[in-house]
Amino acid sequence: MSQVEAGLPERLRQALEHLRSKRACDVRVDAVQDNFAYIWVSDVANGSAEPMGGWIRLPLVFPEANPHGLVTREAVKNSSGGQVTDAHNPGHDMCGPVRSLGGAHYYSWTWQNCPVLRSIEDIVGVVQWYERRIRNG
Amino acid sequence: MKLEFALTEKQHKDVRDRLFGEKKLQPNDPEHGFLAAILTATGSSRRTLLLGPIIDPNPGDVSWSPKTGLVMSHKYYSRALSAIQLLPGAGLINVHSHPRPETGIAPPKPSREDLAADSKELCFVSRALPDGRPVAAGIVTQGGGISVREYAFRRPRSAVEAQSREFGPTGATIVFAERIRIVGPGLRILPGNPSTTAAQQEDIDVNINDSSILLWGERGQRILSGLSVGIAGCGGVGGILAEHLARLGVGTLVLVDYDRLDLANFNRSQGATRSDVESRQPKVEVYARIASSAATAPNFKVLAFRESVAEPAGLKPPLDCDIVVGAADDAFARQVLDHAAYSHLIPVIDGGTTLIPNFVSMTLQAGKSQVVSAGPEHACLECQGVYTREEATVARESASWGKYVVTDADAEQSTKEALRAPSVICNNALVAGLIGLRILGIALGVTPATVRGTQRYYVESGTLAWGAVKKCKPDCPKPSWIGLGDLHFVPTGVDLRWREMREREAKEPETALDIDDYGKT
Repeated sequence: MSQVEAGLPERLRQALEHLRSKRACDVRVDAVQDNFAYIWVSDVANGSAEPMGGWIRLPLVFPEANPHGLVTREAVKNSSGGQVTDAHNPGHDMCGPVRSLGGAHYYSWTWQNCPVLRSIEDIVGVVQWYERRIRNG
Repeated sequence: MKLEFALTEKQHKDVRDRLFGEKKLQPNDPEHGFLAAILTATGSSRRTLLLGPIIDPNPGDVSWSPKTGLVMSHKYYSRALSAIQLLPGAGLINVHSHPRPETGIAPPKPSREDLAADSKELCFVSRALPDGRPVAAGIVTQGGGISVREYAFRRPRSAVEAQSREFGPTGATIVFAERIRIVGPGLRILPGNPSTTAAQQEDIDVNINDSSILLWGERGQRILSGLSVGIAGCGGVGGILAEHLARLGVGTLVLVDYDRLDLANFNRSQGATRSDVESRQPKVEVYARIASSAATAPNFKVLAFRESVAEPAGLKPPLDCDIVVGAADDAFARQVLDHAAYSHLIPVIDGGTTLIPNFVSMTLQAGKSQVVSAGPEHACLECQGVYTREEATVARESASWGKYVVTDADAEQSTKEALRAPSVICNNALVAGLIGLRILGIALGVTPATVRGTQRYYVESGTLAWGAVKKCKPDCPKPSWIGLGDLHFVPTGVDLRWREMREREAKEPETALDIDDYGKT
């Protein structure tokens, strides 16, 4: 476990462990800024064969607060190969904490009108929801 | 650190049913007892032992005879210890009944036999539990008095120490809980320490408070004098409320706010002077001064903390209070207090105003001033619609959250002015008044029907009405957090507005403001 991850609240660490056990991919915490952690999930995909990966901004108090935004290296394409334009902010300040790792595109997707998050296990649904948003974007 | 004991009104009823049932006990009737988990809730200067789940005794686990007194079997202790180990941080309390006194709420004194037996049993319990877990003994009288004492045993680190008296039952340090808080939906505070004399009771000034004593009597005034109220947010509502509560005779106020007085908030800062604005005084200092000069309780105390209640350092002081008022008008702070209300057994009353102007007709398009209470036996602030999870998230995201933006005005001008939400001191005073009345309802029971729920004043129609929500939604987890204390994760974090201000002041300390020149540059 990285030093950054060790410093996270216990419930968020448990959520990340749960995500690792369910998705069998590289899940790591690359940065923490203000009240959010940038969680790299390597197998975030848009439905094509190649996963693109991305940083999901999860609140440190997850699941008491909602996820807010996705940062990616490349501009995201949807399942039909078109650019996802919904809430796309290239080079936004929110990419700052992971810019040195290639983070360059910020999608400011909120959790508005989504199901209420109740438990740490809901982290799996969060990643799936981001993937759905990419596919349909 | 001051020690207290707290339980919910539901738990209190259960305890009384178990110990006394419906039958009135006679002096030679058997005493009853049980073992239960206890958890801790820690503030800055108060530690509260919270009653946890009761471990039901099996037949034969608890026996009583005039010769031996009350005896709880080793099997029962062993079973209770196994159950309690599963609750992180939990300790154990043994509770038994005293038939006398039959009336009055005086805290019962443990007998010599009680002290000897409890020391032995709890020493064994303390060694069986992981280090640092609390162990305590409690007595409940038929009249309603409760006393709880916590035992601290020195833990032996060697065989020699294990044999020493200092590390045994007689080496215990015993501390009585000073007060017993029974919470939900109202609040009852009973004296907890049998050694406290009548002369040490809360002092009141019957002359200065005679008009309110006519309503709730000297007993009620003493309750107010012993009450500690936290005010998170000393803006238009919190500032007025601080003065109201001080004049009512509340004994202790704990003020938490990070902001400074400014011309922009002067028009709703009741009691603040132009010189307070010129010197950019922190609001908590101004309202501590105003409350001190208005206080009617002889032993009035006001504590001011320049902090945000959404941060761990700012939350600790209100956790010492009996009731906390949320007047910060911020979803982040509201969510934090909503959690603390249930886990720490502290009723929270939230108040605020939203005004939506019509800029064309210069009338109020809509608006409401509302007061809402939360905590055990109340619906939570979230279920009553005071904040949403998404609002609490966005408030963690940006220092500019909640700033009011006029959409139809010139965009450049709007940004320049960093517009604030419209505010009218009259609405602030209304909310402060309703919160004050809610506190009286909760602490004194003077208006039992007004203790729970959402009370709204609709600005456009001038009507005052009660909201429909009286219970949390079926999937709301708050009822399961009741009494978890420090075990519960309260979602504090970094308050970005307060951090922005801290960082700015660290770079360039606040300088005096020349009111005459304000706005000219």
